[in-house]
Amino acid sequence: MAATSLGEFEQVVLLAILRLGEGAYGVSIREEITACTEREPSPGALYTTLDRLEEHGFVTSRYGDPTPQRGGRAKRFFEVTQKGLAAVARVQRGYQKLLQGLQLPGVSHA
Amino acid sequence: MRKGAVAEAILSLVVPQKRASATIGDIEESSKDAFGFWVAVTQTTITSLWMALAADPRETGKLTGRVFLRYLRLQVLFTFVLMGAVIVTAIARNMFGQTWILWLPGAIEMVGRGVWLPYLLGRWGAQQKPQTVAVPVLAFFAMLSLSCVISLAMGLSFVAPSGIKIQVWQMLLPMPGFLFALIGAARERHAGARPGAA
Repeated sequence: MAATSLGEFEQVVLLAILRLGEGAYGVSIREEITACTEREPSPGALYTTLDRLEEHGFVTSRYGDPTPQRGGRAKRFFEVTQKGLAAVARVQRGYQKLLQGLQLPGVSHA
Repeated sequence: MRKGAVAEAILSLVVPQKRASATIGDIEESSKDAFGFWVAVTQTTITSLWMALAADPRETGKLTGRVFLRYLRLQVLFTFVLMGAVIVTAIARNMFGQTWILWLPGAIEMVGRGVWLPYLLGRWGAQQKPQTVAVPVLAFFAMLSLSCVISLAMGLSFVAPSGIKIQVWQMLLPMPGFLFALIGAARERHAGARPGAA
């Protein structure tokens, strides 16, 4: 897969980060994905996807302050970059075009 | 809290230390029980290791080749130095009649080749791949497995027909060496992660 294309799960992760805004870190991203898609991603899949997205420049990460609640471990917060935003928008435009004229059960069209 | 430190040490063999720490913090936060925690840690470690290996297969292959050559070089050096020392000592002190001259070199060689060399190799590998030190260890493991399979195949095809019984366990003896490589890599990783370390 080319570095600029996005897989299905990568899109899901990017959209979850966008929905969460500044509070997007591993746990909240996983919860958001579960809440919206009713599927629970495995931690392994999520963290490697986040690493890959960062490697390709679709997201950036920064570390918060270590907290005693997490045993002195910092949270790693994620933010979607302009490149990531453009990539996810491009894929979604493609989906919308494909959906035009189709009637899928339970799907409302924009 | 102790399980978190252990899990962090394991995961940091595969991903950078700070990233491992944050990931373990997340897993601790979201795990309901110890079993779920360890399942998540194992899954994350294996997936991350696979990603590290598959991200650049050419680089991984190159590293395996370098590990092989280095192991070979160290083995040759070690054997020559050891044999040289034993022969010189035996000649100088006229000790060929003593029993220790028979078993001591074998014991030293076993410890050296099975423990010390893998340990050195693990440390060297960790210097080559400081962020994912498990990768060179795995390369070493692959190399050991391959050499054991070749020894076994050669033994079975050349020695077995002559009637001599093949001792399979002897051919698999070098395998645990990868554990010492892992210890060496972890030690190097730990030393590199210390504040103020270069």
